[in-house]
Amino acid sequence: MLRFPNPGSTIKHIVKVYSAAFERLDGQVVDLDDIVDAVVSENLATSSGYMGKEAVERSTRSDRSRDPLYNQLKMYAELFRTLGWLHPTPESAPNFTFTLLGKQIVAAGRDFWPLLDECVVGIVYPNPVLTIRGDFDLRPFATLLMVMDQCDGHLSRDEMILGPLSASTDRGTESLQRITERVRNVRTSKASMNSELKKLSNERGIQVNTLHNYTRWPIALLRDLGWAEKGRAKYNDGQTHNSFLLTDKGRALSERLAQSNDYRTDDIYALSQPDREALSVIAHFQMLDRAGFDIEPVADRLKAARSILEPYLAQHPIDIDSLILSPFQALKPEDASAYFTDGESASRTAPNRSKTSGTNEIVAGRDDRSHLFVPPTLIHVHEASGPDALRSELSELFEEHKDASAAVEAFVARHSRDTQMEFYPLVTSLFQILGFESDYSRAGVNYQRWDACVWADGYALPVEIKSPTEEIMLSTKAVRQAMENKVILMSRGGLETKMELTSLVVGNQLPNERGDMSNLIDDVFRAYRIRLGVIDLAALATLALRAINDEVTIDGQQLSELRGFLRV
Amino acid sequence: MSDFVVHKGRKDPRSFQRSYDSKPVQVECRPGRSTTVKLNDGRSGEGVCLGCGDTPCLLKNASELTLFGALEEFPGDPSRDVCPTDAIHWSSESASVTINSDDCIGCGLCVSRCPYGAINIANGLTASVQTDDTASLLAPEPFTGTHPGVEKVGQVLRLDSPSARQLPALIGNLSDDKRNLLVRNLLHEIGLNCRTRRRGDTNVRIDAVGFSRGEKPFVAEIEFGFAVLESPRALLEDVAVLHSRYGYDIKMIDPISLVLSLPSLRSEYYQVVRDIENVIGIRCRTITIGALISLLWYFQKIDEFDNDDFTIGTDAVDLAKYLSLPEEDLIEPYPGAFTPAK
Repeated sequence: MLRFPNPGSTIKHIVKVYSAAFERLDGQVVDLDDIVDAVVSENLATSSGYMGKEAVERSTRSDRSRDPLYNQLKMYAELFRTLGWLHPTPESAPNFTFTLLGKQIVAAGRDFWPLLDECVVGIVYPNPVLTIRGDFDLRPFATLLMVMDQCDGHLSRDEMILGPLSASTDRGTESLQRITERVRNVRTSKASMNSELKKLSNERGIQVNTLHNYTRWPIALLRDLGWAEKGRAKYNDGQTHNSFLLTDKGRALSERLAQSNDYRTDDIYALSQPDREALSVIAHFQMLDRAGFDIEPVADRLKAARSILEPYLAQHPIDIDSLILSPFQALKPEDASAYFTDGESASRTAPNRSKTSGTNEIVAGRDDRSHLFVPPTLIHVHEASGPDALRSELSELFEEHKDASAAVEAFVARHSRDTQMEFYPLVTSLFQILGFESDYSRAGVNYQRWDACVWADGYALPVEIKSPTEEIMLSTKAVRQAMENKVILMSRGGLETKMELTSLVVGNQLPNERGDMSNLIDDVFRAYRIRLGVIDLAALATLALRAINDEVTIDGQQLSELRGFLRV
Repeated sequence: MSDFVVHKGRKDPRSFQRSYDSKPVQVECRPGRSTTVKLNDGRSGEGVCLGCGDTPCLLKNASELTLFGALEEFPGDPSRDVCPTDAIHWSSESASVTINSDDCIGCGLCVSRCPYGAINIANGLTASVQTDDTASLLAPEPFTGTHPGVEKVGQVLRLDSPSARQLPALIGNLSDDKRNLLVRNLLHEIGLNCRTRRRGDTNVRIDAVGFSRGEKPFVAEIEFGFAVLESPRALLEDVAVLHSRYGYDIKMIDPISLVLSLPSLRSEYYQVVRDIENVIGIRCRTITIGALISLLWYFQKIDEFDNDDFTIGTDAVDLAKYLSLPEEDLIEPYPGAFTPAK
């Protein structure tokens, strides 16, 4: 199946990113770091909640595969190459130059859409610009449109996957017919569609979700280009389902494409060099003409190209005015450069940039957050407390597993489906086992926004709780709510507390990537001196088990002043 | 010889397809009627589209998106579009702008930006462009130059116009990026320097940042639905970010909730806003789209937020008192625009 990268941005933004890079770097040989620099300079990229150069610093990792900005721009660059706007240089694959077609996109300004239509139709595989995995002979977007047209004007996401995007060839009427029949055959019912999708997933060894992800960019293009819109369609059994319906614009384009002469890479390389160049020139300016550019200044060049092609056309009587061929997407980059000139003596030199690409010198893009990971200071717990049932549950798990970590793991798994009704009492009971007075708020008591309270040394610590059914992993939203809890408690009173004491968040699990949460905790402390402490169920259960087994608990003062994550 | 070709829609930004006979000095908008332009030779009549090369009714100048100091790095929506619904376009055939009334929401942004009074909302619902020179004010030749400073007087629409009443429904149907564009452009027109978050950027949570004309920074959360209740706490985070990462003094930052309608008085919103002021000393301001539109339609500007402007005090909540509009005109455009929705 064709795999399109999904940069997670709007089409407009992708064009904006290209324009930003082009404006700064045209005429130069560039690499991805140059493009990252240009895009960040135009404030078009962020990382970990930071902007500008700070974003680059925070994103840049010695392991580039984990560098978010670099990887995002890598996806963009792949799309730019797919669209014929960026070409690899012959010398070195990760280096690129901007193409004349890309320059035309930038020059179109906010009127870029019709030329983008042309570039999307121009996507063809195989091509010499971009190597993709798999053996395909496809013009995918033209085929998507034409199959949609032939399948009653609609295609659902799953039909796209099973039909046009899974086809190995769409060359010729018969291939197109086969794809259309394939769609019609699976369109019997929802069950049939699901079964075929599962079959494809097994055959290709790709999860269904991943298959769906591959359709994100094609669907975004169909929608943003105005070729298709969301709607409802019917399976053959009469049940309706979500689908994409061909618009008038999409239908008109499909009809034009069906009448056009499709020249692919192998077709043009079967021509003599002069014919290839002439056909490329005519096709390129046809694209621009349709996209609203004034091609009058190149009229002589077009006339000459037509003259060169006369002998070929005498043998191959085609309508030369309706070609599907985008030279910058189908020709070898060196041929495209030879056939077209933008009239500027491009320096083709590396940009004068203070390169950060010496990644060995780059410190991993994160702050030191060690101050936010707090190991508990344990003190003697004076007497057993908390509900007997929960103490027994933990003890029995420990007996069963003979190991605290395994027992806690089993405990967390056992409570992984707890709702608020079960989880809130569980959390307060665990605090009670640790020797702290604790209670949860009654549902509907709006003036108390916190979900529970813990008392340490006589002062109340509000607790925001997220049950596993609300959030499998804690989010920054929960931390923000803890901040609000503190403000409300301080403002409305009712419980004895102090500003400098922590506001707690307890949830099922800490997120894997804690960067945003750490930043938030630090930012809030710097701005308001409000302490926010985050505890997951495993940490709380581990401490409770220690309280039961070893008669130790966390120091009340440390809990009261917790800022960051309790690490047990 | 270059193979580069020029787009037919490209225009010299200093070019004008048409020009007035003499310098325009004032544009007067009147609800329900076409706009009048007054020339310095004493003549006046219906404003007409001059086909400006830089189309200020359609496109913002890049400098309008610039922010001061460190905030210039805020990665906002780079769109230069004026119309949030893309209803206005350049027509090469007529050498003027055209407005698709199906897409127009009647916000008045294009009306406010046309320097020559060529756009009006005379039908009370959607904008239209005057291309006929009904008062014979045009010179025979095109023109190259810059826009003269033209005074704007009057009002685009009455606050109880059909356009005002239908705003909640129309804006409620817009996608997030279009809503944000509407808010950004409204803020620009009332004198606030502003950039809004780009759609899809999950790395930045602040919806908008900017400066008043007094160069005082603000952060804003744009919430049009139930999430408005979460807006105060989001503003607390925004202020913390601006303080912690960009060094702005907390007391200098104006946190603003930009909402479609004021929440019900029974909601916790107002109490939380007061709690924040009690405990942190930060005054969150609340501005509705209705209030922004009112300022725009009367060509009003905000220089700076004074102490109480758009704050939720302990008295009855009424944004009308902060608008400095004639009292007899202060009709709430839609429920929740000035006073809390019931």
